[in-house]
Amino acid sequence: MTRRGDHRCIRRLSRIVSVFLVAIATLLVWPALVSAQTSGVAPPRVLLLMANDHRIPVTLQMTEAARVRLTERLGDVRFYSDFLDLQRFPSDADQDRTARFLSDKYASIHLDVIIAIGPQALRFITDRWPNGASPSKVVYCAVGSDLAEELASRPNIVGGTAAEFDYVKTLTMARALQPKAHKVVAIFGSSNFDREQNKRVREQLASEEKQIEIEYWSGRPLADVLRQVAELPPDTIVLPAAFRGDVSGKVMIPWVPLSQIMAAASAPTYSVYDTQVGQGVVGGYSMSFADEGRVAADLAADVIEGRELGRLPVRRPVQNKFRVDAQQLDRWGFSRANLPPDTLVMFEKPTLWSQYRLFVLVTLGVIVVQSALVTTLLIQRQRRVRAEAEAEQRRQEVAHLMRVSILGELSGALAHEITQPLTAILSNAHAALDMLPEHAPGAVELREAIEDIVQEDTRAGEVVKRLRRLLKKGDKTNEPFDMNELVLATVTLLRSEGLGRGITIKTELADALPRVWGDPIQIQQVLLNLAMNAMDAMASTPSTERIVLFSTAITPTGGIDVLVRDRGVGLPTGDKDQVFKPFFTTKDRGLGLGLAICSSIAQAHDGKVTLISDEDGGAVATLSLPASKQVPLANDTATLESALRPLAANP
Amino acid sequence: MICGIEPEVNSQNPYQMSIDATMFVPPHLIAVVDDEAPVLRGLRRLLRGRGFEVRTYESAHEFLTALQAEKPDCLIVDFQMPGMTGLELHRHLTRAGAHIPTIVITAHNERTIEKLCLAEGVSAFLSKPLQISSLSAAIHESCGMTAPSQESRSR
Repeated sequence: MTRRGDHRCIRRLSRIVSVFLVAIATLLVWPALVSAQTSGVAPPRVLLLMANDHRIPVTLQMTEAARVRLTERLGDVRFYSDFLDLQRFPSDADQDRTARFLSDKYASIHLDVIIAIGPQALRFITDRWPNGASPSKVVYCAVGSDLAEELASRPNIVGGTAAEFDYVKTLTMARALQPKAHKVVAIFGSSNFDREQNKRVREQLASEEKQIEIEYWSGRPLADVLRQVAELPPDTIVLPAAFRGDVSGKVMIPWVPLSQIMAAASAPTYSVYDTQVGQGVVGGYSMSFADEGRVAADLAADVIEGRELGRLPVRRPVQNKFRVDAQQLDRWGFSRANLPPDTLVMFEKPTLWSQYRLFVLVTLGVIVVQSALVTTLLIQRQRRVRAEAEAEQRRQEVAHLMRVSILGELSGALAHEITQPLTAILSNAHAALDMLPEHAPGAVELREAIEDIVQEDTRAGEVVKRLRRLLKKGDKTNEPFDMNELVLATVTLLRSEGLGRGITIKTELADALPRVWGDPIQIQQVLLNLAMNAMDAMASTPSTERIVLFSTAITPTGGIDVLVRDRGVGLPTGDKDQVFKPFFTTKDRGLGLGLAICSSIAQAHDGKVTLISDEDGGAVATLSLPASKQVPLANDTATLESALRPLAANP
Repeated sequence: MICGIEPEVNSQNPYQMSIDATMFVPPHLIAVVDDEAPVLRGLRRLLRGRGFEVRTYESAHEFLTALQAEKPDCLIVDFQMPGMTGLELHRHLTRAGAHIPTIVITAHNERTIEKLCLAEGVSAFLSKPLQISSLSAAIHESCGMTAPSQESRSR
């Protein structure tokens, strides 16, 4: 039971597997079967019959384009090609011989389509091709409409391209580019083709001759043409139209003389052949021979595929275009703005951008990045230099501050150290005076000497006391005093200094000045400082004009102004208030603290110090103190420390 | 003013004057405490010349040691000294009940210190270098003597 079930199962499985295998085999073999089927049909055979030899670019462009298009359309196509070389072998005998050769050659081969390149090739086929039992269909290109019409009734001729050279449009373009041109020179050779072309061009340009003089050159030897064309004025329009042979009967390769003429011409040349663009012509309204080849190939493919073609012969148009050579435009200095719209500008010199876009982008990027880097580094350097300069200035200020504060610190110790010996000296001097016998020999002089010691010692002690008071914190007096007296005392102090510098010190004191409250010593310090500044400012003033004038005045508000006027160099330009900042100095050996201290002393007295340039030259410093009242003096103001406070607050 | 010294010394022989002072009472004992020897020597010469008995000490400690032996009529002490300052010495003495008139002398003429000292009961506060007139007046006051009047000393 189980065994029978197993057998059935296996049989069913093997059937499924075999079906599957067949399916796979079929799938694998199918492409081969298909290809075998297609390869079983012989590929279409196409003969490209060319009138001239193989070196003519026009022919090559047409046949190559046709070949590519036919292969695109039909896949496997067997191409044959023959060159009739009718330019050099034009006689009936030559052509008959070629015809015999070709009929022998293709006797056993059925050609589906013969594509005739050029009118002579077409005429050769119609007149001499022995179309036998299975006649080939004929498609032509580069054949004029005259011949096409003439041969329209012939059997087997399917048709071809309908390309026309348009000399009118070419001339229109030339005149647009050369608005000043007054003559056209159309150049032709002496071969049959050339003469035929000459006739056609004349017909086309007949209407143009009303507007511009047209000269037709023909029947001249090439050498003459080359010489004459080189002597044309540059405002001539040159049309080297056709030159396949000159009067000598010498046959030429069609494009060679044309190129020579173009090279020799001293005026811009134009052509209806697109193949000439890039060979020296400016351009023209030309059709592309490659386009013509493609159109003919399409027609041939239609024939082979058996498509409905309509009424024979089929004439398929080929689109013409304005084509110009950018290099020639530049050579003659023609403006692109004058070109007809939709002109194809060829051989534009590739710009750096179009050629090396990525490279340019990368280079630009690198330059930008590097510039940014360099700029950043420069900015950083500048900042560093500035920061260093600032740091240096700060360091110097701090050094100053250190010195000054050390001086302040020292002042206590210094005062002590000086005062102690002064005390000993004074005590001893007094003791000596006490002990000195009155009537001893030389006692009078000795007494005087000791008295001098006492006096000078006392004076030195006084100096130390004042220095101490100046340098240490607080401990100021606040008492009423007479400003005029203080000014006079200050002037007395300054007199010897003034004499030494050749400076006259004058006073103009107001009467009935109210008394001022404050510390006269500090106020005197301010006056001394202002006076010393005034004196320093007059170092370069002529000695007769060296005058410092102290004047006092009562202000409208009842306060007192003390003015110190000099005839010196005036104030430094720049920030008006900078002179009051600590450590600002214009003097080589100045500490830069004088005015800062003066200012803070004045402020402690509820007054102020101002400094302005005098109209007569020099400067006027004014100490203004408020109306008489008892000024409460805080202990920590109006000294060095408060003068330095702005600096300390801004380290 | 400074010139106050001159009439004082010019009026008569100070040496003579001090002898006069000693004629009535035994000479007053003045203790001088200062950490600087030259100052001590100078003051000793001056005060001895003026008829005072003078003891000098270079520190508060030295003075305190000597105090057990004899008590001065007047103490002249420098404010700023290593160890115990003049004011501290004065406090110490006051606290110990030894009431010695004290004249504080200092090279730092600071008002705050002066106020402090006077508030603590110091009899005089003089700044160095010592004005002879002020010193003389202060000593005489401290010792309960009649200070020589300015008139008697001036010319």
